[in-house]
Amino acid sequence: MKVSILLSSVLSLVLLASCGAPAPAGPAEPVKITIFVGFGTGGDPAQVEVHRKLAEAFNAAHPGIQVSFQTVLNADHVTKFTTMLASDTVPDIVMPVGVQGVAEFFDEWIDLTPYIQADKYDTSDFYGPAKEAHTYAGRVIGLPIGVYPQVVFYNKDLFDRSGVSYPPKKFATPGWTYDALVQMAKKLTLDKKGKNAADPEFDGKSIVQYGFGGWEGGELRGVVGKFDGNMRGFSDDYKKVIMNDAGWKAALQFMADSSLVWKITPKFSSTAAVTGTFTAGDPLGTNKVALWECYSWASYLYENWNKNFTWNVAAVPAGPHGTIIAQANDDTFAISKHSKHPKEAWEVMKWLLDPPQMAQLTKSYGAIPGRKSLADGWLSEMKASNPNVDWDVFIESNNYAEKPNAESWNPAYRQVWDEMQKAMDQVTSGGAADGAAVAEALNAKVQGYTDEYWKTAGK
Amino acid sequence: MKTNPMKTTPSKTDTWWALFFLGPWLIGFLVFTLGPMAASLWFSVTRFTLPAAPVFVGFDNYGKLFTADPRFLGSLGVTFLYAGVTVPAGLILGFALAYFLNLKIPFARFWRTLYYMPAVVTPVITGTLFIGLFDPRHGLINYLLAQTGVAGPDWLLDPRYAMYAVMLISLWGVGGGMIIYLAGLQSISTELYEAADLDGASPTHRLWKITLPLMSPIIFYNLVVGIIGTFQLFTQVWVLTKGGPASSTEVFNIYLYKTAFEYQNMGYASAQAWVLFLLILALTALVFKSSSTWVYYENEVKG
Amino acid sequence: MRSSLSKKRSEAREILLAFVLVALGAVAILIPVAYMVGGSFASRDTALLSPQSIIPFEAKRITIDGQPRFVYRVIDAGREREMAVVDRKQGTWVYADPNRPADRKELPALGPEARVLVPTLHFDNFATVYQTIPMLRYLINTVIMIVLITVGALVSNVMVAYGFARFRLKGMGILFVILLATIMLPSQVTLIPTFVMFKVLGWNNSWIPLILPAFFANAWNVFLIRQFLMGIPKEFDEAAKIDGCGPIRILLLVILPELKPILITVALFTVIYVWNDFFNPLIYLQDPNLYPVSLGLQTFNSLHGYFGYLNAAASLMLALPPVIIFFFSQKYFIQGTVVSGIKG
Repeated sequence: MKVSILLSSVLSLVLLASCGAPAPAGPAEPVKITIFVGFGTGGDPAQVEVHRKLAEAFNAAHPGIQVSFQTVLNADHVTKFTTMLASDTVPDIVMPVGVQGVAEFFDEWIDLTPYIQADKYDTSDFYGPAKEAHTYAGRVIGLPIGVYPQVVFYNKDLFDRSGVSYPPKKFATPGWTYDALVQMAKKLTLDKKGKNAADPEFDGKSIVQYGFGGWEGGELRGVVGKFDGNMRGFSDDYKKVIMNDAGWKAALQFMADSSLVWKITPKFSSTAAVTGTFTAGDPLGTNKVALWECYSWASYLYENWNKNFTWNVAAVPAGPHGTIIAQANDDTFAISKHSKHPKEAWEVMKWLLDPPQMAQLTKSYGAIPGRKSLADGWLSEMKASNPNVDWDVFIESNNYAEKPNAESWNPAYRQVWDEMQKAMDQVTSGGAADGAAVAEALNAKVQGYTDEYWKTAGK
Repeated sequence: MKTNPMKTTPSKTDTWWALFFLGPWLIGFLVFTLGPMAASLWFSVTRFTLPAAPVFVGFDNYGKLFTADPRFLGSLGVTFLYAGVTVPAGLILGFALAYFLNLKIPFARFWRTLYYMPAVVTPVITGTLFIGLFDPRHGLINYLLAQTGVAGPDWLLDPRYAMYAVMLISLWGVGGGMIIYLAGLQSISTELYEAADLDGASPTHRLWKITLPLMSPIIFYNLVVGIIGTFQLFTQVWVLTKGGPASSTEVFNIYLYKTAFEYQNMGYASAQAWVLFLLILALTALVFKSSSTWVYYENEVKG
Repeated sequence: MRSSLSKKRSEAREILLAFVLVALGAVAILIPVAYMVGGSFASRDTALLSPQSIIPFEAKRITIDGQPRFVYRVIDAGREREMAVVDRKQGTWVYADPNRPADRKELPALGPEARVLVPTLHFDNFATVYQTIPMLRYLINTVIMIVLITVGALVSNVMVAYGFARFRLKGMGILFVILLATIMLPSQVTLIPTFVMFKVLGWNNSWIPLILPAFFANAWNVFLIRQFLMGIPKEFDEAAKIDGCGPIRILLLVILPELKPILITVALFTVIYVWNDFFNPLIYLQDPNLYPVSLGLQTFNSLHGYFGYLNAAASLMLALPPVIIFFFSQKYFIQGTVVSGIKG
């Protein structure tokens, strides 16, 4: 009868599908360590391949520990990780993870200090502000795998065309301030008729080229630092919010003025305003932006830039009081406190942090290695790939990284982050011309979240 | 004599057969749904922020939602606005579309496939496409507006206009509901149409007196499903704006998702979910109550 | 009585009106789709135009002295020509005639808006998508999942809808309300308890959480089928009962044939839903070997979005099968005539 045929075919398909079900555990299993990739970069097919090969190499050399990578898209990582957290299926390690990722799940990571001390692990090769970016009140959460310092990328062709001299490559060059950058950017912001923004007949409604690409949302606290504001945004005990001091107001005002008054920056975030639907989020690559302050992870764009124009990097300018802040994104790893095998996880990480493996990782991520011993190798490799660029600007930039890192933890982290993003949206979209007012509003909102956090924290 | 199966007393064999046929759903409900629903109800009366364990706090969460959370009330407002516009628009457009595509117009098969295509394009790429179309500087929409002399707004990037863009974009998917109407139109017996023709009925007359009443159970379905669907909206708005700019498109579910997964406040999010649940329940009950006046089931013989 | 001529005319008017409206609307619907198709032939070199172009344009390049050179529209002695850039100095560039590369001129540097653009289609994007991810395995996974889920959906939903429409049970009204209520609770919130439940059962990282629930009916579909069922006259059932049929045979012999249009619709919806669903597999699957196509293609939705053109190509490929299935399945639920009536 037809029904029995249906039933038997369904049954066989169910059996086939159950081949996808997990196999029962065998005898004397090696320890399984999972590395969760998705908090930052690492999701591209090429990077997945690098991870896979590393896992293979490790497993062959360490029969007692089997490591595997679990890759999730960056856009989905919060959903997936929260679900894992709530259901006690947390992975052992997350890597690579930036300061923001660590802060998103701040209470989840173990302190590595006992492991470092027990093994007498030599951390002297890790250098610079990155090393401290992952230490919180004595709790060492990770060691820097790669750093992404901030520099000013600029399009030499556009400078040539307008007859403007290039920005300096040495940090702390006298006269290289944000005021100077604004003047420079004005000369490079052109309207349809070729008049630049410093010209009284400039037509702000028909801009075809922008002088300065602006900043992204995650950088607000770093930008505040350039204007000597409180970079943490909080008092030392995180109870009082300090987002309305002179530096905060000046930073927000600068951003508002950039697009509204001086018109050197496109409205909205730099990537949103100048790129197309299916092309990269690449303001400089459109050949319509002269200067762009960004991090070294923009390296995936170099290939496109090389085809289109000649470019170089310059030092980050100083703020109005001489402060130079060149922000840095850092990638590290972290071990979950719910991991059932923290010791083995640490073994895996030690192996991955060994110079030969770490070099592969940083190359794949487009990062500058966090180990001093590898940094020189990075420099010579980059010089060979493109001799026209002053690669040592990146190395020098490391010395000016902001402390604390702009992404570092604070109470009610994501809510505060969303508010900061909103504030930036307001000043970069032309929705608010008064930076001071935005700062005050932000301060009040965040104080509300902070008060609530401390009310219920009890920690 | 009323023959509504839900209102007369059943016989014993009837009861057993009912249980048999409803069985799969009953079992599934008890096993897969009741547990998670009960868990979420429990979470909603606790303070539950991962990774800490839940602590009972009574109706604290609910109270806070309505008295101390302007963002929640904002999300309610946004959602109601969206539903109030798109549900009627979708209903009318979907039906009109199905009606036209049911006629013997040339290339009907191609038109139907065309209108249906938006329903099968994944939301993520849809978001990318419309962000590009509504781009204030390079998008086609503002370019066309400029040709007619109108300066287009900043659409998805402007808090004042983002919601309008989102609502317009939702109309792109009107072909999805069209299918159900098409299937329904098919099941109307042609004998009725033939009889009407013999009586000299015009097409409009036919539409109002035969088609619409016989389609009313389907329209009813689309109305209920439409209400539930728009209140449950998430992905389509998330890929366009993530709730921005400045929370102007933050529909209920986006704020809920952020509360649960980004702020990791499970307890508060569960309370939000149950408020939404009760809201939808109330609205659906209203629609059901009204259905006796305008929905016509061929089975029911009234009075 | 209206003359058949005037009736034909009014019908023709109706069809013309319908055709015009449908065609106009179709243009609006098609525009985003056209962009997606165009985008799937783009590449990293695609130029940004204002308004964005459906057909991807790239800067024209010709090879001079073994290197690709950009071609610009140059003003030379009052005339506009196309020339390629062979050398750059500050402020002045050296241009070469594309046809006679030895013929060079020094002229002012130009901006990117002066570049000559040509339509450029990259047909190899589709092959690249196939080579970057294990498409065949994903496709097989997806087909297995779709078949199982659709079978489960059809069987269980019809059963339950039949139960609600044709039988009487104490408290059935309340059960129907509960049925609808289950879809009113936002899924984000039951996600975690459901996930925990499956984990406790040990069904994590397998297809079971994705497939099993389909066999236990789904409120949307039950509601839909029930509405249709309510439209089938009870006289049919009575007639069959008189012939000695029990409820199951009534369902199979009498009801199912009447439900064919809506069953095809439900099957179509289910297939398309499963085909496109990446969220549930994302949550429940860890092992990439188990991924369906929808999740596999997410790879191109990467962090920095610089695979946008591959994303478009992948989405286009993902959208095609459902469109084709829909196109050919239309005749099952858009039939010319549906004859109903009790056969003598």
